[in-house]
Amino acid sequence: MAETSSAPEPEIQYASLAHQGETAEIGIWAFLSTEILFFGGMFLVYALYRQAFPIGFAEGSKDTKFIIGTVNLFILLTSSFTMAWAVELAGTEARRALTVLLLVTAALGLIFIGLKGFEYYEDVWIDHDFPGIIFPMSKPDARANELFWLLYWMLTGLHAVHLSIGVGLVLTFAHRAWRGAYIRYGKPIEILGYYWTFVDLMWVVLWTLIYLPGRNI
Amino acid sequence: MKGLAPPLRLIVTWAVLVALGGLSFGLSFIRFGAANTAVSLVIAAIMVVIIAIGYIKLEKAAPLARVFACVGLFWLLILFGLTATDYAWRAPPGISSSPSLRIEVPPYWQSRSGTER
Amino acid sequence: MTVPALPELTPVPELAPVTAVENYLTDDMSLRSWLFTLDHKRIGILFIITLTLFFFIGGAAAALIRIDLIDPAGLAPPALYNRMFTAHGILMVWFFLLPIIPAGLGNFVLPLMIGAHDVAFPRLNLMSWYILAISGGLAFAAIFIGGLDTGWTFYEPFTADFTNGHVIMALAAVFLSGFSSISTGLNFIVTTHRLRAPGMTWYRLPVFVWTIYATSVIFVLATPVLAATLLMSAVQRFLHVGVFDPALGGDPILFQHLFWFYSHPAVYIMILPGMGVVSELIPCFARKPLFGYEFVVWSSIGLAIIGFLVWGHHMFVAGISVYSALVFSMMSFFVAVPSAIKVFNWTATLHDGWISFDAPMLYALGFVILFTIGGLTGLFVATLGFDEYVHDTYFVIAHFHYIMVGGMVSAFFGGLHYWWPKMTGRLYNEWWARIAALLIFFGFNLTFFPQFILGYLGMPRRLYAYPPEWQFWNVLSSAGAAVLAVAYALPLFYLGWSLFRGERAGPNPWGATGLEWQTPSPPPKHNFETTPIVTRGPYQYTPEPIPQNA
Repeated sequence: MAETSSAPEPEIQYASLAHQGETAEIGIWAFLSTEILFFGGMFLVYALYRQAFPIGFAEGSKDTKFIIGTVNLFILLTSSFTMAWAVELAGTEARRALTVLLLVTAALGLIFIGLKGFEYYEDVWIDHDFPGIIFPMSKPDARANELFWLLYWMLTGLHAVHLSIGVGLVLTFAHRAWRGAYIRYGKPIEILGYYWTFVDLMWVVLWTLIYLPGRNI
Repeated sequence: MKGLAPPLRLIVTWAVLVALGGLSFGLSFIRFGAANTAVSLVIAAIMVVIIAIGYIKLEKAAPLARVFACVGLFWLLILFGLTATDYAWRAPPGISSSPSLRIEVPPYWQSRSGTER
Repeated sequence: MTVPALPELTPVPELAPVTAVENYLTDDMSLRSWLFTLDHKRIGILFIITLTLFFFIGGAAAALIRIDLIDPAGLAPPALYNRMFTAHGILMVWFFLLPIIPAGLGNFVLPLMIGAHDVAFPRLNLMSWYILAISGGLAFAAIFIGGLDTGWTFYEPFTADFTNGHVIMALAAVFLSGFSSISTGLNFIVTTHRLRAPGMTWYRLPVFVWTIYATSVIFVLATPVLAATLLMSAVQRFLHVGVFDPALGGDPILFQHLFWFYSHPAVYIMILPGMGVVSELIPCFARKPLFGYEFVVWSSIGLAIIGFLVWGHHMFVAGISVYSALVFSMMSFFVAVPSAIKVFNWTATLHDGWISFDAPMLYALGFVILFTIGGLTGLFVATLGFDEYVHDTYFVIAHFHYIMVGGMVSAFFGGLHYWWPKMTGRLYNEWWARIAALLIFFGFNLTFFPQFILGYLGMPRRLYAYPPEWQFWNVLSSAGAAVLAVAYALPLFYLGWSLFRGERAGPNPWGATGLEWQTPSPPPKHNFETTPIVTRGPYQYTPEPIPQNA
């Protein structure tokens, strides 16, 4: 543990460790801007079809599991809190606290995925809301409804993929944090925090688009 | 150890976000008509900004990082804006009323053979 | 920022005639060291080899197209013909033209040009190559086991609901290749921002770096939208639901909007790096500074941005609203401004220069001529009224081949010849190279100029047969394709020969000014023995003969 607690050497192309850290920060932001456009393409499809089929989309949204989605919102907001707290502790001697916070963050992420999985289970096996394979055509405005559900699956599915990657990363980083890798150099945790919080931020938007319409019908 | 406590900033951010989420949840049941969507989107935008400032500390990030974040949003605006020039002046998509045009092919997952249809 | 403070500005030392004993090629010769390399130079070479392979496969498909069209009735079965033009389009666009100059040449020279020891994220760089190789293999497999006939554009709802073939596999390949584009683009953006050598200010960057930067911006901002679109397309086909299917409530034109939001900027990915290469070649072989450096730089950035505002001109007859078409048509005319700025600047650079017609310069001059023709005919098709008539005809085919093949492929060959001594440490045979350059120019025009006429006469694209009165022009075009095939194969031989028997090159065989020429050929493993300090702008040429093999 003694050798890992010293600050790492910068890679050959960097003048200093700070140089490397700031470069990584810019890199993650460039990456996140691609993510904005990745989800953005689907948001455009969502916006146009919701404009075209307001009733079908409201009816579709009404059948989503609002409580699970909202609980998941609060879980992710809390996980971002623990993540941001962990970022505060990165680069300090608080090795144990950092590891615990990262583990809590990962655990919250896993709870999110678990709840999401339960929600998917209900969607498919109880309500039969899976477009193309099993979808009740007796629903009001069924074709538009099906479009909504398709976007539901794609958007939440991609979000879940992002979150699963995030959980894997956080667990990896927690392992390294336990071994003292971030006592002298906390920038990697900060980079991880950007990604994690971005995934949370995306859920705020998805939750608003997917669960809220049609609640007051 | 005092240094381990979460900064006040994070606690406040978390509390405000949870409150806003709850507000959005509650308001969705009330009938505002078209304003429902607007209200929920405004709240979502506020939440996004609060996350960006409270958790991510975007105002302290490298200037270039902020530029990149804005560039992503700006290009999204181009995508939406120029597509809107088309949809603003023509009939929105609808469900086709002539099903006879459609050739029904069994979906991929139903096909018996191993090859794609 | 964190670029270390300069002690004092020292003048660039005169070219040291160093022949590196240890260089990046001899550092470790094992296959394993190549497959796990993090060296941007080796990764660049891996890209060039892989992409050249795809180029020749895509070229073989093009040869079959031209053979089919010799006879008005079509020599190939129609289904095969459809699969061939699809294979040609997919392989050439995504697995050659998009990545070749940025990820191939750019990977090799960009860090050298800015005086960096490597790119910012070397592992990401290697990952990019693996992703591209795998996705290219997947695309090739999809074509090899039966192919698909959607065209490279995957238009809906045909792609999802009405065609047979291995569409999902091809969609997956293109989707995957997007990750490679994004990784490479992101890497170059960050590298250019953060890893410039001390004293290398933005206005001291060679234009090539600027154009690669502009290209990378497009990579990063456009590719995700394509990924989302193709994903929805594949899901629609797999689940039989209607994202873009009008019978199920979807809108096929929305697919075109999303697709061209990526694919029009992608056209600029396929020309901007070529412009960068040419901006390096012309000053070097005219022995003059680049005329109007700032204008060339900002017209590159301008092209990258305006390129995002014009995608609707691919859809004039697809059913978009007339007002929208007007907006897109007007925007498309604006593209001509930065393009013309560049052409005028290159011409002004040539004016009164000490021009030597070495092979790279021949390619560069070919580029300027062919790009000008392609660009001007672009104005034709950007005009609403004219486009109504030539849309989906060979006029469009000829127009974009003048840009992509006449422009980009010429520029690639020019750049490859120019940097070949730097990459390999060997000189190629100049006479063979000149013959190949002239053959390419001649063969290209013979292939594609008749297609302008055919398109103007009304011959639609993507059809395996045509009325007999068009046979004359089609035969001419096919004959040109035969010349082109020979000309493209020639460099394989003399460049390959030079690898083993070529004369050893000095560090700066062209007497060029860039930083990449101040390190030995081939460069050492980490590019520079000591980080260079830059004290002057690019292209400070004085009119004098080029020292051969200095």
